[in-house]
Amino acid sequence: MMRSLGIVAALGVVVAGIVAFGLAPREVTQGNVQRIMYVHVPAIGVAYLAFILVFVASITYLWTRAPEADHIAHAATEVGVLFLGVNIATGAIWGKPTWGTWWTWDARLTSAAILFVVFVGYLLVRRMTDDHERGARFAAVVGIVGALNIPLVHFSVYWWRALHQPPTFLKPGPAAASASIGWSLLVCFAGLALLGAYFVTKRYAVLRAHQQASA
Amino acid sequence: MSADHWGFVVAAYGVAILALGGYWRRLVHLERSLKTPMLRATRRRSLTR
Repeated sequence: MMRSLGIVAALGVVVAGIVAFGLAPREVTQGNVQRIMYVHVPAIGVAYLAFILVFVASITYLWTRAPEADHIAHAATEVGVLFLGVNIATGAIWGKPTWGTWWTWDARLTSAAILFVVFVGYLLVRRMTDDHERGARFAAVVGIVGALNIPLVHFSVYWWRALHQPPTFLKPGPAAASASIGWSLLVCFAGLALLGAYFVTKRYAVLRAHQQASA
Repeated sequence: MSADHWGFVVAAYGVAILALGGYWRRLVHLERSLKTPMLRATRRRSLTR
């Protein structure tokens, strides 16, 4: 099962690469540097999904104290931090030739950086105490508070004057991209989402196996 | 028409591949260390944290 999911995820990433470099059109205004968007945009989408999972699993853990819920939240946080890190790094690399700067304290960039720091904090909180149950409880609170920042990050471009362009998806009104670019982004999102799902599942399995081995 | 900046495109995808591929490798390593009794004790702390 796990192996099959890994193969499907790898195939999804290959298809995303083919779409990003082979099928998606060259963007008229930005040129080929816009192809960075086919990893930048899907990466934040996968990070959002991971942090939503953290939110649900953390509430479940605080409610039930089921270790499985803590393992899911822990695994999803690692994966969310990973994909958000990819989003921020690729955004900076795209920003240099397009905006003329690697980084600016724009509302979207700053709120995404805060989201990243909060979830790195989640992982650090787990290490701050030798009492595993206590660390899990503190981390769950951080996970819930952190996930509440997602709307702030996503809609920051509307709520404040921002250099960052409005979102392509999950926005009021029609999609901001042409149909060919929109579909390419969706296919790349599907590929990276499969990879994210595989990572969460595998990390969860490792955490669970370790708990059973040490019990 | 803008310049294509292929160097930045390669850098961005390179960073993504390194990060995602590195994490995949880490997961495989963690899984293997669980199956290896000698490594189990030394890996115990890093697995749960």
